[in-house]
Amino acid sequence: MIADIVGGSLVIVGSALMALGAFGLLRFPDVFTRMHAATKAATVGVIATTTAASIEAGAVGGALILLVVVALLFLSGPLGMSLLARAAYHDPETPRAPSTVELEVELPTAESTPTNRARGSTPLLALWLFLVWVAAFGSVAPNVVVSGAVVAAGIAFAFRVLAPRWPGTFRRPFAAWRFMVYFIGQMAASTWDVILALRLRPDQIRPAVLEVPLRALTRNEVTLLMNSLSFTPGTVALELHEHHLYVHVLDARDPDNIVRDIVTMESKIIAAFGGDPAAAHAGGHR
Amino acid sequence: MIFATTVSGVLLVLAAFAALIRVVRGPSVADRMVALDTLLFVGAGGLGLHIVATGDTTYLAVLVVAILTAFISTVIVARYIEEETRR
Repeated sequence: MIADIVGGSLVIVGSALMALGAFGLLRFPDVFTRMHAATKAATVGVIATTTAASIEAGAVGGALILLVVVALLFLSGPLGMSLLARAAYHDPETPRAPSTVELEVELPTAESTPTNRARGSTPLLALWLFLVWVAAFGSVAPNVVVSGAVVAAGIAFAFRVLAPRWPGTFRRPFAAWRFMVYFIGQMAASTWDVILALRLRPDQIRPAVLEVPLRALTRNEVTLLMNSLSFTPGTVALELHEHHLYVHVLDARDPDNIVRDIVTMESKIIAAFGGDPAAAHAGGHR
Repeated sequence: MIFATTVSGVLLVLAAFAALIRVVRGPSVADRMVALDTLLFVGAGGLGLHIVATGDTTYLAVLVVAILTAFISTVIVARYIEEETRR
């Protein structure tokens, strides 16, 4: 009964968000603003309906599918959109809303970011993965424990061999957790922003391209930042050029606010996933 | 429950129509791609709705395929636009 109510409301909310996102496709003036509608409202909508479907499917299978779908949406969705945005940004034939302005942001350069950057630990990573595995199955039956140990050890070993400088994420679970909570809050806020922007007439929207200097150093940090920014209020990552990030902003009437969001996101990412800066200068990770 | 699924179905159909209009009108390739992505997401939403409405979870895994397809097609079209620009 409760599952019915939760599932029903999730489906309604999800469909409504998708309808609003698709409406944004029609109403917003150019590709970039339409991307805001597609990446935010529609993505959150898909997550809502998938959650409803996996509640229907129940325990193990549902939880796993939900996990895979959410991971895919967060990793591949913004990545694909950023690639497309970048291509369209460089393409002279793609029309841009005439009201778009270009802004350059000056930030105090923080050369020495005081964060505890540390290397990852393979045994800890294996332990984390093992716990996630057991939690996903929700049982400690022998076959689950054995397969979990094998898979966790395998993945941890593969990371050690293939990406030796993958940052010390798993040493700082609380910073990672704070980042997650902040990120989810930002996602809700950004979806709300898109919905609010739907009220405006197309010529009232004030989009902008912001150029923001970055502090994030390693490729992992920059990648994660660009990925996350596609979900924060009003931004889609466009281009990265010499440690300057170009983001498209849906509503640039208050650029200081948006810059503050970007900087906050950046410092949370560095705090949680920050890698070894020496490694970044030595040509990035392999 | 019937109320919830009916309302959701109507909303999804409206969303699909809006996305389709954008696919047809363009004007740029990127516009069409964004709209096609949204259309695929709406399809995934429809699948989720079907699962909730009927309780038939056979196609749950297809959700993953739909989202992966959206990503791969976006990347391909992005590369295509970049090649066109470079020429």
